[in-house]
Amino acid sequence: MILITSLMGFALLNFEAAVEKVIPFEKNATTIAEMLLSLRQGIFPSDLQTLEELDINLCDDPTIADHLSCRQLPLEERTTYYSMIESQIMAYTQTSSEELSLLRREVSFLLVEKQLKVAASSKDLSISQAINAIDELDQTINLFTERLNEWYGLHFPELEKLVGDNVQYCTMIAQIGWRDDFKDDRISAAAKTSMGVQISGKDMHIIQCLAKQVVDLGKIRESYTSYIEEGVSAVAPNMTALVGPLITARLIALAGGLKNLSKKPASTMQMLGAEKALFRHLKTGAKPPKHGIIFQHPLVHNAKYWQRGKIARTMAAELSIAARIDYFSGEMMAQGLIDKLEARVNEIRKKNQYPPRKKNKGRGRKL
Amino acid sequence: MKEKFSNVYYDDIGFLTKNLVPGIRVYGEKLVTYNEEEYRAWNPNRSKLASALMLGLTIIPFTPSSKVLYLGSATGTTVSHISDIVSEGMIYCVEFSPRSMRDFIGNAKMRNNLVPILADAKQPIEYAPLLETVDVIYQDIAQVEQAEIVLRNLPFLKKGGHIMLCIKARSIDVTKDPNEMFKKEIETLSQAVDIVEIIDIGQYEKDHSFVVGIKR
Ligand SMILES: C[S@@+](CC[C@H](N)C(=O)[O-])C[C@H]1O[C@@H](n2cnc3c(N)ncnc32)[C@H](O)[C@@H]1O
Repeated sequence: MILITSLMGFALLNFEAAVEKVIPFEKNATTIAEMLLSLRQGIFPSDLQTLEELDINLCDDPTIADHLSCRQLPLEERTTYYSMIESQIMAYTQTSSEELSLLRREVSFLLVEKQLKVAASSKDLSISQAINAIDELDQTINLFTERLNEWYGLHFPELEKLVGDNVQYCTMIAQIGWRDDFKDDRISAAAKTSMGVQISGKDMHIIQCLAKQVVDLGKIRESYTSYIEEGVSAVAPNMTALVGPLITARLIALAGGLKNLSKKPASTMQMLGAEKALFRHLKTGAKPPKHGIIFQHPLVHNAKYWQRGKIARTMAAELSIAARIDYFSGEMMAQGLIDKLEARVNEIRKKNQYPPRKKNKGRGRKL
Repeated sequence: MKEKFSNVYYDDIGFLTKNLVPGIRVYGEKLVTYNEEEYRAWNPNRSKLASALMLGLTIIPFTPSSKVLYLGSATGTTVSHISDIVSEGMIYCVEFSPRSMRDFIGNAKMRNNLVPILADAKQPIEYAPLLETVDVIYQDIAQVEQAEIVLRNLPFLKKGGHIMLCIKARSIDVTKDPNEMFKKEIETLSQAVDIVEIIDIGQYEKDHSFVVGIKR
């Protein structure tokens, strides 16, 4: 027999193309969308096991064909058969044409929404990899730049102090090289009085090779950053609106994905990324850490030291709500969270204007 | 304002379609009221179908009840105008970029003649259960094997139904002469389709042509 998949159910045709049997679906768009999604993902739904007992030789769906080890019906034939039997399936399942087009639309929307969620849920893992790769790129860039400080420093040790940024420093070495070739006034002044020695053209070339590598690594870093910024605002729009793309990406990476993150309580959210300090606290009795990666956020970072813990706790609370919305619905509703966070932070600032006055009785006299 | 084709209007400056969802813009287009009805200006710089119309396309195969399979719907710029035109029909919109689809479904929900499909147009069997036989296949995917992808979707098109597609000569193979590439695509299509109109829309979209054919 030939199996044809329709939205109303499976139709089984004999080789004269007459309908022998219809296995109707429950008339429920969600159920149908879930089954279609599963088939698209190559997973044979367990509630289709009845199909295994039938004598099916040809089947239009690739996943079912694979599962039943039967041949797949080419699209051309599938559409021909389907247009011949559509009205019979409709009659059998008592579906009017209005109902059928409504069902098509409903199932399609549900299917797309489910697919988008799947696409997003694997995207978060890719983002986690990218943010970890950025950390490794930074380490490598630092390592090579240190090497270049010493190496290129033989020729022009003063340059390093004049340029703040590692990649920029290496770009200058790669593109200009000789200290006498710098056009920038400040740098060429330093070059004239440089303590460095002359080196050979071959030496310079070898140094520039390494500098070019750092420049390239810098470019990769840039493209990873924009990949993360773009991706994370699709995967976790509410968290991103609350604390920005990079902190969001780091939290997702630390938790091992958005799903895991959405299950964590606010107290864990606050500590994510503080593991090292936490272990130090447990081992040596050093001060316990008050906050993890969210410390990087200016609201926490720039707060007065005695307000920090409280602000971090509030932020973690809002973030854990945002993570749940992002994971379960993906709907954008961050404005409410942002407003609440701001109100709470203002309250904390007002209530705790002055540093606590404990322990340091002697402090005033020392000055 | 004149009705140039069924549900397609022209007003000296350009083409317009009657807004199916009055008051709502899809891509920042101009809204014009005429005889108490709202129309959406169809921007030829944003939609290749509008640019083909501006350059004299004579065949618009849509009727108010047409069923359309649209391959490469992106965020729905052109789709929205076809949706105005086939007001009682249905458009099946296939797009494989989740990002574009995410932007698209917000609009699609407001128009009840749109069916979004997140799939690769190269694998039509995947969306076969969602489809019915259509009157027109429209394709704008700016990708290699454009003609081949139309052919793969042809089983959904009724005999005598129209195909409309944008061919980008360059994206198929950058190393080859665009004219040669274009000819080859037309040859591929001609296996199953009679080509009835070709409009060079290079003026609006570099290296692009708009092609209309009829399934044999
Ligand atoms: C030039 S844009 C289409 C613009 C749109 N037709 C309009 O005028 O509003 C091309 C679209 O085709 C999509 N696309 C490319 N290859 C595809 C494929 N194999 N299946 C589905 N969509 C594809 C791209 O993601 C992109 O959104």
